[in-house]
Amino acid sequence: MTRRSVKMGIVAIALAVMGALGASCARSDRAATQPAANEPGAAPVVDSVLLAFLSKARAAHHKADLAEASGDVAGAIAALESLTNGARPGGATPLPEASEVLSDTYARLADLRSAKSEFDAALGDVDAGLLLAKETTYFRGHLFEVRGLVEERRAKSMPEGEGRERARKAAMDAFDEAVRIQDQVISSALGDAGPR
Amino acid sequence: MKREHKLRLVRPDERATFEDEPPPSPEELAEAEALRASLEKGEHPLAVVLRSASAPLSLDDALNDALIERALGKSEARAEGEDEPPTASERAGAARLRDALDAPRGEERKVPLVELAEALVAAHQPRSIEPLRNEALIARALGRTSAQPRKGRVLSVVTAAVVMATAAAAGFVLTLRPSAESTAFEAAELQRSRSAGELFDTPFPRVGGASARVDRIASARATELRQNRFALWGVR
Repeated sequence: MTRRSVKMGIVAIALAVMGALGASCARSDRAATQPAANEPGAAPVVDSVLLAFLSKARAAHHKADLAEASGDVAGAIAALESLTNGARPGGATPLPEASEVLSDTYARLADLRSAKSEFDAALGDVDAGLLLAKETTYFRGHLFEVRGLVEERRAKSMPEGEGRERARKAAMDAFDEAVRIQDQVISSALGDAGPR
Repeated sequence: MKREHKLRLVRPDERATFEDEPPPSPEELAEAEALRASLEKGEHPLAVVLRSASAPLSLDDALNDALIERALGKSEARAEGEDEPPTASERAGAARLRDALDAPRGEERKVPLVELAEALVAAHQPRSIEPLRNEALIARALGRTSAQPRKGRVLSVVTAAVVMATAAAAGFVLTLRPSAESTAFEAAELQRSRSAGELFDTPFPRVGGASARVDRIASARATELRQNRFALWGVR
């Protein structure tokens, strides 16, 4: 066997081993991201894709913090929109954590836009967040709280009249809904143990 | 006392006998006969020496003069680098060498120094090669150099292909073979995606704190991802 053939053989073995390892890793990842065979309908396990999304969310929010600290509200909004407009683990039905992080991001966007008197856009962010946070959680309650905040700011920005009163009422309704949801979450967390 | 042989003179008509020696074998007799014939013909070097000693020939006049000059030291008067006059044997050797060099190529060369002389001539003033012979040499050289690597390359490609196929088959077998580990993967208690509400036991502030919440969620899920990987690897 010539030296050339030995080298080619080594390369072939290395490629085959790498291919086998890659297939094994892909298979392991599939097994990790898909429900187990003995658990039909089980939720996907925590995997690297979810962690990548959460890492991106952390970066976007901290970038928005820096922009806000320097008075750059538009920069903060752009940083957060890079998250809401990006890919989501789970696609059309995002994973629970991704949905909650996105809904919280929409809540922050609504706060920032309402601070710029962009009330309709802010309410649009709240609605987008509510589509993601459908369960009774702190995240959904927080979105109603932010909706009340947006309506409150809108009311303060309007002169006395029917419109202002309508905004104030909308704010009151949103805060009530927020309180109701948070009560449910607290009761659910306490369970049958009653008030602590 | 050990018995020893002693030399003694033997007359030509006397036949020497040695009582303690075995009679000569047929091979020895044949060899002795061949030596005798060679001596009588004068072909054997010993015969030449013996003839020169017993019946020397007269010297060539020129050789005789040269020997006398060398003996009398007259040759020292020659200029440095000037050769001595050739002897008859030297002239004869030179004539044989000249005839051998003039002979056509391909004939058997028995004259000494012929090959060395031809090499020196070729190095000093090489002859032009015939065009057809030149083409033949080039074609033969190129064919030899191109044929040998091709053979090795074919061998190496075939070997590599066999090794690659074997390794790929082994890799697929290792990949597709159901193992106890795959069963363990499915049965392992893996952390699954779920609401992060369990991480927060109080409602969120009206404004702010979003970054801290995302930090908390990401940190918790990163820990669970490590646990899942350890479980998949079989680390407990």
